[in-house]
Amino acid sequence: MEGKYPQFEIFNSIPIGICIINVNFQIIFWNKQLEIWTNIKPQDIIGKKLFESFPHLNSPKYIIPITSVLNGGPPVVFSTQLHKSFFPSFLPNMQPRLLHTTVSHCTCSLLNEKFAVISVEDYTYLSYRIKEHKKMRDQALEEVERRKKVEEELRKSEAQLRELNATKDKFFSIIAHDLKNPIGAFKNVLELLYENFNEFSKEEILEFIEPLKESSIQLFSLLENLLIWSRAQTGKMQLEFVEFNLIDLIKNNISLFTLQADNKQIELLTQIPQKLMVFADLNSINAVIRNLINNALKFTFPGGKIIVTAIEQEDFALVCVEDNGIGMNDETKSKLFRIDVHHTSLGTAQEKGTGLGLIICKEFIEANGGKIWVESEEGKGSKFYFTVPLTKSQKN
Amino acid sequence: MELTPEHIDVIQEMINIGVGQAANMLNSLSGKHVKLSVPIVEVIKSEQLIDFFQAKNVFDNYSSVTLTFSGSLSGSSKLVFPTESASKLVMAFTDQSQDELDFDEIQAETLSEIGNIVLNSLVGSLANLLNINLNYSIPLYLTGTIDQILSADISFKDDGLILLARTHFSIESLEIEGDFILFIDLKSVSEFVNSLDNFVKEGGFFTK
Repeated sequence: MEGKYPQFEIFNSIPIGICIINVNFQIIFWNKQLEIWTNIKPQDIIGKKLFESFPHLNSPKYIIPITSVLNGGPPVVFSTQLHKSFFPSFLPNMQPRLLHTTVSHCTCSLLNEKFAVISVEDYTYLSYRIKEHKKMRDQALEEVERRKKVEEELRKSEAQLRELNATKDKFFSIIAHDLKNPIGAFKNVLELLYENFNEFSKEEILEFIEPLKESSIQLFSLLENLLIWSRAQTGKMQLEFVEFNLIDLIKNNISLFTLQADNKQIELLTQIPQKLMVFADLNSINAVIRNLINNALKFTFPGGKIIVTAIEQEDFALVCVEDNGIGMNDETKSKLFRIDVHHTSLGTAQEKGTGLGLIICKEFIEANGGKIWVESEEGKGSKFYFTVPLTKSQKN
Repeated sequence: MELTPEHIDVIQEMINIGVGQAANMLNSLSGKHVKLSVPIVEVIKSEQLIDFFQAKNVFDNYSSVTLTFSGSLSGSSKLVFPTESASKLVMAFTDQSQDELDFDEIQAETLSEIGNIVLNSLVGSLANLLNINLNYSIPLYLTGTIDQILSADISFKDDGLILLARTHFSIESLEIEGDFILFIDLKSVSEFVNSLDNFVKEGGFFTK
């Protein structure tokens, strides 16, 4: 049959695979391009039935549309994704070639015959190029993501630097104001006493040194807080997480402050259960309770009242130190836990603060996995809340 | 020469027959349960066709498959999808992940096959029932804005007859909407109407 249809020879010089079948599904033409792609020579295939050479095509999904084409129906497409191998063909590396196949009708009026022309286009390299472009696009997207992360890290480290700078400023401001003034007063009083010691009576000397004693207590407390804070800042503070009864810690602190509260005629009350087991660092939580009660005493007028309550709330112990003291406006509240804003107020008996106490409380509570916040109204009092994680047994 | 409501009913019924054939072909191709419906066919003018797509205003890019025909009737048939829907449709047939909604040439080629099956069934059904011989061109895939897609079609500019039908694909849990457009060139409109009249005169669907 080869050579019977010379009019089809023109299809040997095009870069598209062409196979022509007649109404009996007999292959009557097989062009050079198909020979190259499939390694099947025209003389080995021409005259054979399509399904004889390619048994996988003997299926309704091929027979029905091809029959329709042979009868003059519209062309049909067999795409590479849905038909991996209409005519199986492999690349030198044995990967399958991706061939896009279209079957269209052809009536030869000269021969009075109907044919189906199976034209095959190679999409393999197009597919490779698409994959390559997608890979490049994905790499570009990854690079964009990576840069975003780097920028984010830079922003974080800039924020950390700003905070470190604020910490340093805070430290200098404490040294400058809170330490310089009382130590300056010490120096002046001591110089006066040293130079004129014999001119003063014992009573007068006592009068000089009494405020120094008060001031030294305040200075000692400031130095203690500074030490804790500097440890926290330099990462030297080692938290030791243990199980303990938070109620015992509250009771201890209440008894320590009872005398100070009595002196200022303030009622110090508790509303606490017998036991509230938490898992935290005991020393730091102790410092927080001490600071909050001390603050409440400082900002409550004689005759006032402080209530310390503790309850279980979900997986946490919730502690509240409530006073009916001077309270705060919103602006003051916003400055409380911030290292970058210097804030300290005199107490109701002109007690001085360091401006460090609440900052330390916040650092400690957060290091223990809890939260700290305040509710306050000017002239009515304040409520300082903090949470500490409960132990597993307490949670159960 | 205009189509009467009776003509449109006949066309609707012919399209429904084609829809059934297309769904069967798509079922056997994909091995999945594919439901295809074309609920309403309407005759519209070319300006209305542009307005119809512009009113959607949701998708900038469309993908289309066109089958042009000549012979006793000349014109073209077109299946148009928003590109994102086209991609979903191809992915449903090829079991690809739906996360990646890229639409590349390989997917376009697959859409050509799916669109070709639908168009062949719908146009083939009309031609068979009306007993008309048509010569078909190779299906053409095109992507772009709706203006670009329509202006590339000679039949769109021909001021002939335009039939528009929404097509609805259900493939497992996926629902996809596309639009089927049939353009009958002006010179073939009277032949088309005559064929419809003859079909009705000869007993319509009862004799087929």
